Amino acid sequence: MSQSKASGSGEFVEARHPASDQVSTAGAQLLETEQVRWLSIYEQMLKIRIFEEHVNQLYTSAKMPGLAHLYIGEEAIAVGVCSALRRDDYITSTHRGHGHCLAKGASVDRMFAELLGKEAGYCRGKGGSMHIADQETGNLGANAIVGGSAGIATGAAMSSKMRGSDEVTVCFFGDGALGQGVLYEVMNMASLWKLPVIYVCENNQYNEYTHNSETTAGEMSARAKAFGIPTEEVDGQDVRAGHLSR
Amino acid sequence: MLSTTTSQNAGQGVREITLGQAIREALAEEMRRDPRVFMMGEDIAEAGTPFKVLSGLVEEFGTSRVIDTPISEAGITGMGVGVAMTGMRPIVDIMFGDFIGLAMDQIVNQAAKVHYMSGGKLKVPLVVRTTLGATRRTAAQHSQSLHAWVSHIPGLIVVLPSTPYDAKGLLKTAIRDDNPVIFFEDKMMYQLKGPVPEGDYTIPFGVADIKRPGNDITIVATSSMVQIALAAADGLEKLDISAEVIDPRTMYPLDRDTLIDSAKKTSRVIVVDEGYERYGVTAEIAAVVADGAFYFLDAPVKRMGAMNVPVPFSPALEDLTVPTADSVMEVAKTLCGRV
Ligand SMILES: Cc1ncc(C[n+]2csc(CCOP(=O)(O)OP(=O)(O)O)c2C)c(N)n1
Ligand SMILES: [Mg+2]
Repeated sequence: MSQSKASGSGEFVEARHPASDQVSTAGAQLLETEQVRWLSIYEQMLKIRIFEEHVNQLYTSAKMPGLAHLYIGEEAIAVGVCSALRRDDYITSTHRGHGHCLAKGASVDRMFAELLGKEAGYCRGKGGSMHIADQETGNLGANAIVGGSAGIATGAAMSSKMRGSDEVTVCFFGDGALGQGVLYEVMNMASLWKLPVIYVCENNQYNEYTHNSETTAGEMSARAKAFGIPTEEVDGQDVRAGHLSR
Repeated sequence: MLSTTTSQNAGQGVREITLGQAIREALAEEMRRDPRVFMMGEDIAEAGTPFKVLSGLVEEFGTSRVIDTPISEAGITGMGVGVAMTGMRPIVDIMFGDFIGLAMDQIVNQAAKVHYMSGGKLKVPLVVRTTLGATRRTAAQHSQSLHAWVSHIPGLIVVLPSTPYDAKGLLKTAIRDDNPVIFFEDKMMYQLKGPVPEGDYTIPFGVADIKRPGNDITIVATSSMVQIALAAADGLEKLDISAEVIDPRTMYPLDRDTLIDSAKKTSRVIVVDEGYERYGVTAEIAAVVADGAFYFLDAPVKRMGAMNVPVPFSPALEDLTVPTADSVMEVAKTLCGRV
């Protein structure tokens, strides 16, 4: 199964959470997939869960400085998507980014070192929880500006196209980022120029403290559709859905 | 310090060309030299920008390297950051400097931060070319000189060329630099002519240029204000006041030594810049001079900038908002005790 290469223009995936009213249509294909593969995918989700539980402990016991946005409950999205990517494919991540980084291949020890502000960390302690970047695994960085990495991700996709290489870029963002204009500026260009970028909206229904019914008008996915971007809504709790929606 | 303008010109075919032509030449030479270099911006391809600075480039390099974009300053700047992080060397064209407000998050929170925040692993070799300068009768949203905004931000290099020679050499350095560079061109100076060597040369960042040597007073001037300062210096010469005109050329890195040495020599300093005077780059430069040459100064360092007012449309009003050769001369005379 090699769904990692986007053939056409940018795609928009809205991963719903916690529950979805839509069930993956790809169930049949799953049966053929090796158990080993899914086991390792499960392990990855578990790794993120356990990692975040440790982060929570460090944070609540005041051993970890700064902020900690946990990815608990959303593991299936990062793992589902990233397990369909190659190492040299790019991702951009968010303030809630530990799961994306780990799913893309970051190592646990260097992640923790960064969270604790140590030199051995991915950014030598200069970035911290919200800014982990790791060139070697194609992670162009978590971003603490909501919607802040949409330009970088779309630019990375433009770069791949210009260099004639076949990497795909995945831009992760929360439902809160749908309030940021720059997202629509770059979606427009991604579609116009047929850039290999996938926009993954992690819809956990909340923009910090505010429910998205108070902030977001109309159909979420209609926004991407308006640019002619193929759009799909999948269950963010179903790791197979995230994986196969590619 | 010798003027680099005279010292580096020797030997090559030097022609008189305009500042706009010098910019175009630098871009064309760099795009020929390095296939990773490309441009994106509004109306840059067929239109060659409203200032016509880029005319002819799309004919040579095609629409895949001279890319017309939607009117999306934030989007194109953000994408510029992303392409730069992944192996390309983009030049993003922001038509009017006033519009960098729309791209500010991409410049300040993305471009400027990526290298440091990633522990030095990721690089952003992005050039943002934009414009500054009033007196074009285009009113408050097309006339500002906002280079102080970005000069404030660690992680950015800020370049303000004042001559065709400097424009070509500094733009080449900007394109080859691995850091994000914001390059401000005075839109009123595109037709200014000056000697420019054919072919390749670069000018290092952080090296001020003494545009005119003198002994009695130092006029530090940037971009559009260099010609004003030189005209003032001509006028002052007739009054037997010898003015030294220095152009820092880059706001960051700033050549503190050349400024301080000149202040020590002349003991009087005026800083002239077309940005708003309030909290402007003149304040930073004045502080650098006061700090470094305190015991040598015979007068307070004077700052001259644009009037602290939205730039008015009416030509009669607009002309009052920017320093002129006359106003610089008046301040110089006062500092020299000649009133
Ligand atoms: C531009 C910007 N505005 C506001 C904030 C403060 N802030 C941090 S997280 C957050 C909510 C983000 O919601 P969403 O994008 O849905 O992500 P989630 O936290 O739900 O994963 C806000 C408003 C910010 N970091 N950046
Ligand atoms: Mg949310």
